Amino acid sequence: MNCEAFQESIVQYYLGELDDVASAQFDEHIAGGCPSCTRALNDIAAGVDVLFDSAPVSQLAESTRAAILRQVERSKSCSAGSTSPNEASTAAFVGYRATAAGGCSVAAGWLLAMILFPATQVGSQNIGGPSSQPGISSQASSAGRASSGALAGLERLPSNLRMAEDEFRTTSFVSLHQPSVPAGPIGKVIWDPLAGEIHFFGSGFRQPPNGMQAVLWAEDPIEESVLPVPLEIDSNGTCRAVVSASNLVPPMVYVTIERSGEPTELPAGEKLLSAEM
Amino acid sequence: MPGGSRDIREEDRLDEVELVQRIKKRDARALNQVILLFGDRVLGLCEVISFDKLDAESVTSDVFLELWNRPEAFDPSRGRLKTYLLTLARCRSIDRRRSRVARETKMNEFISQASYDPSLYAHELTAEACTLGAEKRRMVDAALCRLPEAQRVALKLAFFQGLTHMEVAEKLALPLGTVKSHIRRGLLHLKGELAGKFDVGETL
Repeated sequence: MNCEAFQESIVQYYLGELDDVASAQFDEHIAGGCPSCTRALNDIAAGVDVLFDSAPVSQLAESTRAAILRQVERSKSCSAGSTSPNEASTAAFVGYRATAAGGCSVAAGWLLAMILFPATQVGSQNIGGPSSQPGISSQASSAGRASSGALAGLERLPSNLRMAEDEFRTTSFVSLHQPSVPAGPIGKVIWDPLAGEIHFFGSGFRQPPNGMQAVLWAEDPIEESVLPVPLEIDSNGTCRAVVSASNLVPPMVYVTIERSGEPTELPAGEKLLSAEM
Repeated sequence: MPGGSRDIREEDRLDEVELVQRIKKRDARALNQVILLFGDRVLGLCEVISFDKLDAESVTSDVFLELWNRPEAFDPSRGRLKTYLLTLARCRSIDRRRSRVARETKMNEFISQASYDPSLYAHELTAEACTLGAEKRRMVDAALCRLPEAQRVALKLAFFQGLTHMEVAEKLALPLGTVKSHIRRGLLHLKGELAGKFDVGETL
């Protein structure tokens, strides 16, 4: 086959449409260093590169991205054949989580709020609120944002890793002790995948009763572990915490009440969240 | 593949080459970034080719997993990462569609029934163009508009509806050689008009 014949089918070769025999002939010819056909192939590649800038665009669901990354993490785990660096430090909580997950009644007994990350992009979003349904508008979400000053350190996230305002989507807000309390925003969560951190900025909290402690938990769905971080609530009812999120799938975040290190229930009549919420 | 395209600026590639290097070192964060950068485009192409949303999502996953499992298959001298992923997406989508069509109907019926969506040929700016390198897309769309219609339609069918050269020839009732010529000339025209002109704005 001469160069003219090669170049007639060069787009098919580039796109992998040729049969094995013809493709192998091309491979051999190009590998032989034919300058004319190499140049022609590069020209086609450049043309395809330009054309694909006009290709259709859709929106990849966060769940699809998460599924890909979970598969990758699993393959890494299998190939490594060893525990992850986080595993040792979180092993103590794995059993606890299994207990909680294994019995809904147990989990429901101490769960104050459960916050699920949105099934969209990484970045930041508000938490909770009766208007915080899937597909929430940006205006509704923005109204409940924590102060921007507290978030200044996180503004470094590259724009392509930020969640667009209209992609805010919340989740569920469970308040077993105060089922009648409208679930308003209790704070803001920012997932910084580059730093591997979850930043929680809470607002509208009340001081827990003496001897009790509010705790933020981040449940990592890949490591199947949870990390507890005590929440120090200041006089303004705000609190903040940083949780390690070493994996690529956003964790679930819970706020619980503990007494002596054990999740427990608030005494009757006590509230952790402000009534205005 | 020996040689490299002089039309693709090296500075544009630094990030994507680095990302692939990190993937080779099993850095899943790099793959995460690639998905964030190109996931929407890969899915968009898969959707129009496969005509099936579930298939499109599945193929999209396959594309990124293939990059993870065989990062060495990406050859920067042959084009940019975006082009590699979309070419792979086109190829895998065609395979998936063939598999499905083989089960459900005859290929000839499929080709004749393939939607001839006028919007694919209108070259009007769409909403997503405003958020994804709008200026770049506008220039490409404008360049496509300037192509002879036969070339433009052949390119659209081949690249954005995932028809093979043979299928394009059948659909347009043209000899295969003519279709080859239309597609090749169309690509060379686009390359001649726009390749290498984008070195700002969109980094990857």
